[in-house]
Amino acid sequence: MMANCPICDLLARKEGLVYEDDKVAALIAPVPAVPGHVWVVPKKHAATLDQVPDAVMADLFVKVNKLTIALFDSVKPEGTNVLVQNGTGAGQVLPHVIAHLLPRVQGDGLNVQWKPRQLSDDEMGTAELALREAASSIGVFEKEPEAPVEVEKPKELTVSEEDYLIRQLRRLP
Amino acid sequence: MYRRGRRRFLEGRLAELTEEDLAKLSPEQLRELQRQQCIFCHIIAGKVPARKVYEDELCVAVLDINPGAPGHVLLLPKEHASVLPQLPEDVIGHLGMVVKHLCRVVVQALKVDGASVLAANGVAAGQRAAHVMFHIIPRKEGDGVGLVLQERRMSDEQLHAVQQQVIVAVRKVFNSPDDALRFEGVTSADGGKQSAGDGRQPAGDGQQPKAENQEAKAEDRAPASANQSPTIEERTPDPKSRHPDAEDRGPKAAGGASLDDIANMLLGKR
Repeated sequence: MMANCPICDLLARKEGLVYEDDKVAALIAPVPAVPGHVWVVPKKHAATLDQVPDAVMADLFVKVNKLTIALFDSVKPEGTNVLVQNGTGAGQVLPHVIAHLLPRVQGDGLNVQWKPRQLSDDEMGTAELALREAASSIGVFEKEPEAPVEVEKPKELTVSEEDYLIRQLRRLP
Repeated sequence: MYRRGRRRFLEGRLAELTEEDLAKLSPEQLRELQRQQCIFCHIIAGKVPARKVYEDELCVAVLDINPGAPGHVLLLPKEHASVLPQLPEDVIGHLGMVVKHLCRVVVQALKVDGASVLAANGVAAGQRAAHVMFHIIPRKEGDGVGLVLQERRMSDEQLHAVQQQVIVAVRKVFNSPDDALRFEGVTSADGGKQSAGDGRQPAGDGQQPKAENQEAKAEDRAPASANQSPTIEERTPDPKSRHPDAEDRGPKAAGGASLDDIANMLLGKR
């Protein structure tokens, strides 16, 4: 929950909700691009994918899939899109990660195509090398955190001010 | 090199089989046939060259040869599936984690302001290849790639009607009414205790007759299409290919059609 986040606000008010568990919630988009447009969001506030723990990402995608099936069952589209606009450059408007589920029918006026480009071998090679090098950092994913174990600090180890003063006194010649 | 490899692949494609030939094949053989016909399975197997940027035991990421922007990545599950719901959940979850990290990698390595993540299920959604993939497109403001969602005006009543409709399906899909309905403000006639079939009808809602009609139509449609244009998988459903959860939901998921039926319908395949 974060102040000034419209999504956190909607979640708090449970507005338009169609699914909720401990990590993920889904709601009918209040500003839909197509009828049946659903937002699947992590419940804990995260502005970009970077801030979503790996375990929650996995759960988010599993729920995206299940909600896709539910949309096929209810809205009965001819297809569906999953879209995440991650970062302002990608057109992200709201400060909360959203996976958009878009039920699609032919000629619904929604354009999720881009103009395919032809890049030179050099350009492709440069991108490939840069990405491959950076992607070598991927591999170890955070596991779901275990139930937090409260480790109480043993009292006797804390150095109180009094102890400190006493030790100072002892150190005096 | 990549393009030449692709042409070779297309030329070496299996000669078209007649319906009779296909009828003789076992489900395993049909699966294998699909895999052989899928260029992305060939890329994953390394038989067709591609610019691979990431690989682990479950997925591969390659550069798109017709990118929307430089560094446009395709994330592919190694397991062949036409649409997302056909994949096992552990694979889908894994893809989610890799998508997150690929977005980070794209932004870091290419100095861009973000990345668009897009997947399409079905031709109507712009799907072109019969292999599940997530597009990760590096983005900069004003790059002209598009992917803009235009707002469509819908009344509160319309939104509420859709919400009701989706909730009923969500309850069915998740198969756990209590989990799926831990919130108030929603009319639920059955209190989430009745069977999925009864759960389809929201209480005292104008939607009720419409929902029933839709369901009836969907059920009419499924067998009809099976008669007119039998697809490979409709005739010989392969139990192994099913989603692990399919059994929980029963063999018929999503409006009376199997997941394979849906996949074929979506892709407009024979």
